[in-house]
Amino acid sequence: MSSPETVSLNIDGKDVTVPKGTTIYNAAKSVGIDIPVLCHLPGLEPVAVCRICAVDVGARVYAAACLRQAEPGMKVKTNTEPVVQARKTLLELLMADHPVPCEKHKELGSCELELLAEKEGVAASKNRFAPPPAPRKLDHSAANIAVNHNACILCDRCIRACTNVKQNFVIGRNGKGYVAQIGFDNDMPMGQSSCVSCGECMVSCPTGALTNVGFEAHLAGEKVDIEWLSKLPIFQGISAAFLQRNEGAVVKRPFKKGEIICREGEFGNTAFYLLEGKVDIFISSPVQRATKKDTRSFFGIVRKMANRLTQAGRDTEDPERMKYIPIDATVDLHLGNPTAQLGPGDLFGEMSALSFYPRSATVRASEDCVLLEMLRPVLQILQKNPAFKKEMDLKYKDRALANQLRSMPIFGSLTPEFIDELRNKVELVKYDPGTVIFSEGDPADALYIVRIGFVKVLKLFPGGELTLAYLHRGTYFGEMGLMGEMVRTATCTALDHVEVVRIKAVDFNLMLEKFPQVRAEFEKEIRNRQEQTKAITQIGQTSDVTMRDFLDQGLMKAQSLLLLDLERCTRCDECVRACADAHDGITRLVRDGLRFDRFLVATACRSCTDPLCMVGCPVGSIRRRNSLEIIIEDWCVGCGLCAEQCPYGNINLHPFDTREDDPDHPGMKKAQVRNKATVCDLCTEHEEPSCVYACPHDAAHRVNAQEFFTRHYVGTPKTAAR
Amino acid sequence: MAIVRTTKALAKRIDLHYFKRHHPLRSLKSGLSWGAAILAVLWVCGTTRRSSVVFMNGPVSTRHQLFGVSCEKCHEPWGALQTLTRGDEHPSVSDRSCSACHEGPPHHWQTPPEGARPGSKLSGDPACIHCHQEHRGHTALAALADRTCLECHRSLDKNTPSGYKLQNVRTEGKQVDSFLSGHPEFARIASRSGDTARVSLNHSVHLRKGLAGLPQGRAQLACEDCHQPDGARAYMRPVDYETHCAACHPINLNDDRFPAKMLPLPHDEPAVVSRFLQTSFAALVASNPEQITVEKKVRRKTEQIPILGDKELKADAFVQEQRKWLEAQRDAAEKAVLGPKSQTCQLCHVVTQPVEAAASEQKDEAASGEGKEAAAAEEHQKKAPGLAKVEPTAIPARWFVHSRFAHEPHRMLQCVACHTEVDASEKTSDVLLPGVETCRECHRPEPNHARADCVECHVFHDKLTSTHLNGRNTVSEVLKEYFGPASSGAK
Amino acid sequence: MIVDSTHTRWIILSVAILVVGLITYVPYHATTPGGPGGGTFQGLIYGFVGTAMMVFAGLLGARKRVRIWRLGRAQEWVRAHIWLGLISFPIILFHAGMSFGRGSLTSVLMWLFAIVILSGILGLVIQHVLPRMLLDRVPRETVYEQVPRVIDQLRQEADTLIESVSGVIDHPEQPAFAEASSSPGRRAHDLRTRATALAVPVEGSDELKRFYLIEVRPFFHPEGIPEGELMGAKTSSARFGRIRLLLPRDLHDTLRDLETLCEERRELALQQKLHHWLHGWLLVHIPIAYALLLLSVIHALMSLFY
Repeated sequence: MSSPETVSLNIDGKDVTVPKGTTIYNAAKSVGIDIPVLCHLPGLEPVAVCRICAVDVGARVYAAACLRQAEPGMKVKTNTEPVVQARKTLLELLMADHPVPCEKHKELGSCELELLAEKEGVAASKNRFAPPPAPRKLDHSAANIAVNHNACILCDRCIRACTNVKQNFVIGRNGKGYVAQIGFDNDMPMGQSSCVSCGECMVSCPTGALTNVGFEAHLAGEKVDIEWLSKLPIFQGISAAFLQRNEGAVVKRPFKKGEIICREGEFGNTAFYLLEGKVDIFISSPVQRATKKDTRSFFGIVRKMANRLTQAGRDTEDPERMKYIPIDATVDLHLGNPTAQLGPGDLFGEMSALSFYPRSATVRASEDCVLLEMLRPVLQILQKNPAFKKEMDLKYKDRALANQLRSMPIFGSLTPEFIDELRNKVELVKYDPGTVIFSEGDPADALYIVRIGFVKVLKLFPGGELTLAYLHRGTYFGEMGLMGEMVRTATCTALDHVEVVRIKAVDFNLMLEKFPQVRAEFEKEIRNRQEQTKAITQIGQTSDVTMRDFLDQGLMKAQSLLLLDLERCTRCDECVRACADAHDGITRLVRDGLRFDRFLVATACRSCTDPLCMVGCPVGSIRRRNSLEIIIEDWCVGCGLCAEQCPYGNINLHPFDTREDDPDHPGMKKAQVRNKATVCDLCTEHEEPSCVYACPHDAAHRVNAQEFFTRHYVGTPKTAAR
Repeated sequence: MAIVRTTKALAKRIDLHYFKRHHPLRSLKSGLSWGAAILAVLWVCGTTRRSSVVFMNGPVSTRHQLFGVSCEKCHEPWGALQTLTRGDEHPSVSDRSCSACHEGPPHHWQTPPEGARPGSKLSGDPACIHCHQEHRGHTALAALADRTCLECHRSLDKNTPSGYKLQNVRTEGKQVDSFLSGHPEFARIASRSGDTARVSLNHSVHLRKGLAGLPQGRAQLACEDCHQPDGARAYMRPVDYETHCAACHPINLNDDRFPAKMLPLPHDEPAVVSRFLQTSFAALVASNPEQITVEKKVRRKTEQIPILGDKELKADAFVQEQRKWLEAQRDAAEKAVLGPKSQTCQLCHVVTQPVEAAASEQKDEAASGEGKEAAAAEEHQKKAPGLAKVEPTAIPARWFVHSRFAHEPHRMLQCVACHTEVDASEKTSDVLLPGVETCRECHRPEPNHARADCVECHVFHDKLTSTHLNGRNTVSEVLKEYFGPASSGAK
Repeated sequence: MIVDSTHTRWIILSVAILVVGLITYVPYHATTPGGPGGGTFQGLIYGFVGTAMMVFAGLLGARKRVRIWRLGRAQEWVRAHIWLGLISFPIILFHAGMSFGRGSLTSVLMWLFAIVILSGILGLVIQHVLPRMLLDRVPRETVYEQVPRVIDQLRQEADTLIESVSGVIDHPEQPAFAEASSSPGRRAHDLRTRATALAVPVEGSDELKRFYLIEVRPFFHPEGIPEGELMGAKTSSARFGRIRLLLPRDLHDTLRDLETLCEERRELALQQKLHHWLHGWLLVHIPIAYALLLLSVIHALMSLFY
């Protein structure tokens, strides 16, 4: 007898009773019968496009086991000769469209289609079907995901992963017949689409159609036994099914002493968990703008005079110059000696794995060690795992919090005792991308310190929103509300996977009470921020010029544009050469771009109100100083992310000569060429940018776009708005 | 899908190191720049290998061509720099350089100031090159533009900058701008004294038609019968009695005792004439004693001195008697020729009677300050006491002492075309020279006219007294000096 | 450099210099016997002042070599260059006593000077006209030095465009700018532009492919200025019009894009031509100015020595 809630059926002679609505596939699985599938993945909504799971249910046609729900009295045969034959034919057809072996299979031997074909005895060499008449495309436009449409079997797993799991709605299908393929944003190259590079599609892809760029270097380690894995303390409580599904997304990797685990600047998408042994984590010493200061020799004097003429060296020390470089690990590195050691239980590469940021530091095994390398899904589930979270929080509070607090000059005078006390009171909070941490006008209840990710600070204006800052690891926010109006003065949003340390208002006030020096520092800092905010918001309010071009070209967001008056410009290239002269022979200005009216908007940093370039810098070296200009500090690791992020092509990577530790001869240095990002710094050490200064024809101008064009078109500066 | 490009896409097209490579246009520019500079240096070097003429600011004057390629012949090193530093006037070529060849006699020759070395340029005079500017092309350095002269002589009634005042010029406060405008009438003509020559001449009579004594077939005297050009065909030779006058105006002593009842006299000083007369009478007595009627008495008288008895004494007495007679004859003849009433000499000349008669006149002359004439009279009295004196004619050889004139270039003109008053002139004092207006008929600073520059007539330096012709160098010295030892290739 | 109100100061200054020069020159000219010359005190002063101005004008070249030295903004230098350079000519004429040089060196100097001044004036006029022309007629202007490279990229773009409808085309020649990718950012970019869709030929695309390979592709040769129908705006649009009649409607968009690329190529050719005019006068101005300055120094030294 079967109740209305359950259904009884027979699969390959076995009687099965399952809840109503269960698919044949799941029903078969429950009695240990494995129906092969390709387009179906547990957790994804079944669509039954590949038909590999075809089973005989006694009807006119075979049914797709993954989709068809079990019906009472159904007699399912999964392994009869005709079914097997049909499956083989299906596989043959799919294989005809699939290069054998595909990249993934070649590297990892994990192409599901090819594995299944092997298992079913379908040899590619004996395929009866012709390959498609024209090969399909390769798409290498994305930084970390490679698309090979040839290897795609149109299983739609990626589409469902993108749409249903991640809700990004980027991937869809294009075309019909032979030209049918998956498409990003209606057939854009992936790198130009709105793809956020989350990697979900890549994880879900059964074949080598979506692969991690450079994946062959990773996850090539020892496959881990799920059982062993689930016995590890940090994996306790995580379902074996999940681990099974993500088999291959976590590997065990032993390293010998001295081996490099990852290098700064490389793109990576994995996080490492140190099981045993110790590793050194460091970044190459920041590239100094080295100038010899020998003023005694003749040439020294000449150089000194030339320096005076060029007014070089006027660059005053940045008052808020950072002492610590934030990196993607549980420690921060000191600017003077950027090296640290990690031990068992430490996790690094979280940001790379979560948000595909480039590696922020080089990690070298300081003794023989074993690491677990994991992709994002594993890391995410780990982070949700209370056991792991507890351990990580503890670790962080133990070591990193003190470190981090001390790394910030503002907390310099805190005593260790107080930090100890604070340790138990703070909480670690995680935010998913796009989450609003707090909104303008909310009551202020805590101070936040960024541990992982980027936080966008913005203010709302009648004309739209204006980004005040992007906060990276090691910075704090929320103090203005706490110390002033008791309401939030700006909205803070998590830009990606963000983890913050939350210090409650009570504790914060206690701290201020106990340490007047900290209070003074905060007050000073608040004044600075208010000034900066005022300056930026003034810019945001000055204009109501609403020209389409103006908006289209993003000029609205530009605080400082390099305009070349094309009626005057003789195209003599002096500006470019002046820029190169001012920056070690490398131009940070390209005399090409779009025109606006009679001006060429030259390709040079615009000091956007919304500086996208700052998002994602793994070492926080690209930032604003106290004023408009965006600078890239010396410790840039050359990952090129900012250059990718800048929508206007204003950041470029150039090779620089550096001296780095020689791995072959410890303690020695060797000359090496490293890429560093360069961006227009507005020649801050001078009163005027060199390009403008050197323009012989009065054609180059550095202007605030809105102010300039308002004056240009309206005729009078809009002082009333100020 | 139309092609749309973003700023980033546009910028990424560009190679960021393009400006470090040499683009043909830039290479061409720098190549041409170097080329032009090298070419310029090569050109200078190439031309200076032959001569330094390339550095000259214009060709040297015609006369200096000989050594025009050797800068240091005239210039002193860093002279122009001194011009700037000291503000001197033209020290780059000093008068020293010029006076190596040129004496450069003074400008104001008539009245050299105290202490001036005769024959040298005056200290206040301008530097040579003030007026004579070199490197202005193949011209004569002496051919100065009017304004060179006018720099000082524009206002003639004012002192010149160098402190000398022009004499004998009536300017009526005019300003001289050119020959045509402001140039005063010639002083000789303007002055009321007229021709002061001490000779009587009536041009009108001489030019009368059918004048007595004309040669056969001539109806009238012509100018050139008396006025003949000098060797340079510039000025007229002085009129000469023997050549021009004697044919019509013989000088005779009318005396019946001489053959043809007259004695032709020489055209000479009274002393010479006196001696001639005495000789002539002595000859007359010697050749024809009987004709001398008066002499018998003399002989008788000598014979009546028996006491003496001495033949020699008798002869001596005779000689004395004879001399007395001769002197008497001579004196009479002198009187006939030179006496106040005589028209023999005085037809033309002014004759001064002997001291007694002419004392007051002579005193006047002496007082008039004509030192020269007074001295001459004194000398005359010493040489021939008691004789009348023929005054020097004082006909000027050059009328305009401050300027030059040449008849030769004017030869296409009739004499009377300029000397218009000649036909009507009856008095010696008439100045028959043409005035400035006559000159201006042709000499005008206009096209199609004769030149009218100052230097056309006036000269700065008085070369009459100083020109020497005997230089210092031999030919080889000159060649060596001027062309240098490597002058073999010089053309 | 456009002469506008920012030049007022310099115009006033140069007119003042000229007036002072004239005021001192007229009496000097009238009173100097034998005419004024370079060797007199006043003449030397004119020469000195004029040469100083010329040398200053020449220093613009040196100034441009040390662009980032804070010696005054480059545009001020150019203004000074224009006006002092211009005014130095009458001053040198005063120096020469209004003559055009009497000796060989001096007349050569004067002629060179005249050429320099005239070419400078020509350049100034050109700078008033041509930039505006570039602005109006070459909307898709790029960096002049990179024109061949951009043309090459246009060809790649066109290749991609045609390949997207007519299948692979044989590349008869290697890409001219293979050295392009040097930095990671570059590489990613290049990969992106080469991410071509190797699609199945669209029906009727043979005609387009033939047209492209025979007529259009040679037009995208990076060197030189091609001739032929595509070079003229009218003839080109007529040619494309004819081709359009032969193609199915599906390919009209592709053809329009190709035409746009041809237009861009044409504009770049025009840009090259205008750029040559815009900078060609410098080929006269600068070398002659070098020679002039050099000879002036020789002239000054020799004249001061003698």
